[in-house]
Amino acid sequence: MQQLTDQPIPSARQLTKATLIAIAVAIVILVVAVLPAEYGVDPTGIGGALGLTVLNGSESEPDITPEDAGATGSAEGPAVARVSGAFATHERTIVLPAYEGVELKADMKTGQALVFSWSTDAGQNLFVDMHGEEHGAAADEFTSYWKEKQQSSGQGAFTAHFDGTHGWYWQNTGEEEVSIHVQVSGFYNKIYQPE
Amino acid sequence: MFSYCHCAWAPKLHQLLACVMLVLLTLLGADAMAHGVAEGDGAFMEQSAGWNLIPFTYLGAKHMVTGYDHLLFLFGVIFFLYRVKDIGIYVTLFAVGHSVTLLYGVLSGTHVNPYIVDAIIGLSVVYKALDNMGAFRRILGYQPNTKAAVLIFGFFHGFGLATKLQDYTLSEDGLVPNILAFNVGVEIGQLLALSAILIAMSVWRTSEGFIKHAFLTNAVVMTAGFVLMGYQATGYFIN
Repeated sequence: MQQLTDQPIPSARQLTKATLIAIAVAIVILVVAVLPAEYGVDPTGIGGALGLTVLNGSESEPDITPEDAGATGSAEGPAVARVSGAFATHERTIVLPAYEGVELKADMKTGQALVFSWSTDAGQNLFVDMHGEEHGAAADEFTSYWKEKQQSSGQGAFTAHFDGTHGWYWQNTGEEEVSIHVQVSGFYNKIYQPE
Repeated sequence: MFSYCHCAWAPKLHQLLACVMLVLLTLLGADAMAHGVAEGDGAFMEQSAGWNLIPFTYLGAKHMVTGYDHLLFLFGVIFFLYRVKDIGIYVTLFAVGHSVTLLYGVLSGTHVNPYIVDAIIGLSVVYKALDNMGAFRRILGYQPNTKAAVLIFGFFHGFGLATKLQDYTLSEDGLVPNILAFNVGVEIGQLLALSAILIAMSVWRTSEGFIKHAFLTNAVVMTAGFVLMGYQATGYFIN
């Protein structure tokens, strides 16, 4: 530090200016690049426009990326997906009048998963669209996962690829009332029938 | 004599480029090492039981050489150190500081919040940059003890190193020798990184531009420190 003490010290005004500029530049870098890329926090939308939030999409799921996946030596991905949240199970019967449609939705975070099984009591066919949308999405903004015109039962395992509501829309295309029996188990905040 | 200010706010193109490069390097580092320890290395650490001195030494060295936050702080510390003796003293103080808390943190099982520790490490970068810019002498009217600052911030850097290791379930079998080996590796990595920084700086120091650009360079280092702080503080609040 000896060498430095011989130098004139910058004025308080210069120091303040430099510090304020440093903070301002840091905030811009954080808001535009670092926060969208690291956390998916993108208040300005610039990070998304630059394609930086994509980085977060693949990195924000540490819970389902086993750290020791390499240990299995398998190229087919991990056998176990670690998931956060409380475990829940629901079972219900939905009565669907002629020509009417109904939805059943689960509120899930990215990486949460559930297994499901549903069937109509007498094997009647329904129009089914298994789909999901982000919170606050417009009515026409949704992603279809599994759509069938004539389906009497379905089962499988589902993992949410984004935060939002995910579930089923069933429509009775016949003249008779249909009962649907649904079982769901897994990790989700709540499951409900929207009005 | 030299004045800091006559160039600082009229930067030429190559100065701006240098600023952009430094910030970009910081960001690239942030992406590459976002999880502290590379995934495959973490798997190794979880599976290994018994003495694994060489691998742990390597991992310690790797963590330091690729640890942009530690390197930025070291860069600030040696910025105005010319004599080998001074460099030795400060680097030893930093090594003692972070070794104490690295060993204490892991061996005692003390868990500190990694985001808070990493934000404080970002603060250490800001502090050292301001120190180099003469801010404390200007504002406080005296020079705060630089050796104490390096030692104290060294403690926080050590806790940062400890949190990275604590992300993994380390086997009790051979824990102490393995952690010591990791610590030795950290010091080796620090010496390697320091050598590279010193070679580059000694070339730079022979040019007139060094003192002329000192203020601007430290302002950029301070910016990088603020980015680190904001990055980690945000992580703390949203996780």
